[in-house]
Amino acid sequence: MALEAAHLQELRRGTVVVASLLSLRVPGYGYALLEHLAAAGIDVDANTLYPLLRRLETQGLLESEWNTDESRPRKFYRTSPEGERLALALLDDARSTLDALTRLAEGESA
Amino acid sequence: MTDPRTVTLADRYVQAVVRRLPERSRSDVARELRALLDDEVDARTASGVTAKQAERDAVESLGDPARLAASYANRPLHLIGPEHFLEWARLLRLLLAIVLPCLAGALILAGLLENAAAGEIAIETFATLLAVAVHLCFWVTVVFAMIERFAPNTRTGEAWNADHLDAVEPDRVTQRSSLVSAAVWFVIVTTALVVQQFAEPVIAADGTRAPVLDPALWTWWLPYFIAVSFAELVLVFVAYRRGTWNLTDAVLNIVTAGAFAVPFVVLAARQQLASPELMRLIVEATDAEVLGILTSLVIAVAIVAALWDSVDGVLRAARAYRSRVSN
Repeated sequence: MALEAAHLQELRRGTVVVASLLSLRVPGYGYALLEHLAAAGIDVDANTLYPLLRRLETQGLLESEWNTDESRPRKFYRTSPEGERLALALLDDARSTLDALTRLAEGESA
Repeated sequence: MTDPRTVTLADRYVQAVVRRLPERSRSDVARELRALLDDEVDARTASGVTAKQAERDAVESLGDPARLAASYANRPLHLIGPEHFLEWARLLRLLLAIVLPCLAGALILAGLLENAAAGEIAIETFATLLAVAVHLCFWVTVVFAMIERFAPNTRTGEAWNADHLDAVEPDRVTQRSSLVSAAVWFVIVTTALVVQQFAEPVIAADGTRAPVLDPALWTWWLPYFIAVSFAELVLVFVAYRRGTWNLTDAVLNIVTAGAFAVPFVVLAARQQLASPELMRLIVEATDAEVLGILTSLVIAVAIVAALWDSVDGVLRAARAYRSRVSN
């Protein structure tokens, strides 16, 4: 099963980026995003997600702002216009890849 | 300073992560990580875990702080990554292949000129080669690890394209390497013959010196061996110029190998090869039996080398023939 896990990880690599960029069109902070993604069915580790958010921020795909209104100050991230454009392009690509895989799967069973 | 009694597990974890980060991002990451851990702890206590255990679980879920810090700082967790690995391996192989043989030759020559004993030369040469090899590997690796860390997006080598394939046909490549090895072998043999005569490395107990080989061989057999070695070199050179290695070359190769090995083995068997002083030294130091064993060993090596050379020549001809047929 270690083999399957490795291939699964390989397949899912990159989907976390798309999911985060799409999800953060509504501003959110790290832990809330983790919960939100888990609820949506995107499985990601905290220690993968948190550094990823910072990397996406340095790349200009996310913008951030400290929210100090509540007792616990939190860093809120929001997808930048550039980030949204990229996320939609990636989503498009993922869709066509999935379509292609589906066609292949169906062709095989036919 | 914080009171050490109030420093929590989460504090220590955050500290362990941010001290591995560049100064400018430390406070921001620390603040964010702190809040993230607090969120995690809250979520766990809400599900009924004790505060202490929740903190422990939250910290452990983030894993090794060094790994998390590397991820935050975008630092590689390998010494040399796929971008530079091939260039590293190529450079290292090239350096070792050039430096070590040259160095070995120079050390042996220097030892012979200083009239050092054979064992001493061997030990010194081996130790120096080992040290130089380790240094080469170490420093080349250090430089590449630096490139990996401080210039991650530079390419160390030219991008590969089809022109990088060997420009000559495969047959030609093996021939070039056999030309080089034949030339190197010829130089080593002739140099060793001359050096052993003049350096007289055999030192008897009374301090008198003598060459390794019997000087009487110079009247006929040593020039003969040099001539045969040279003939073999010429043979390889002619084949290289022609671009193919054919059956005639293979046969001539067997003839030269035999022309070298047969008289050599006969001389060795009659114990006419080594100088009388060397043989006396061996017998005195050990006994006559050892001399016999050494003689058999020399004969065996000579026969195996000649057979190897002959078989290699035939195989090369067969390979060249096959590749001509298949083209």
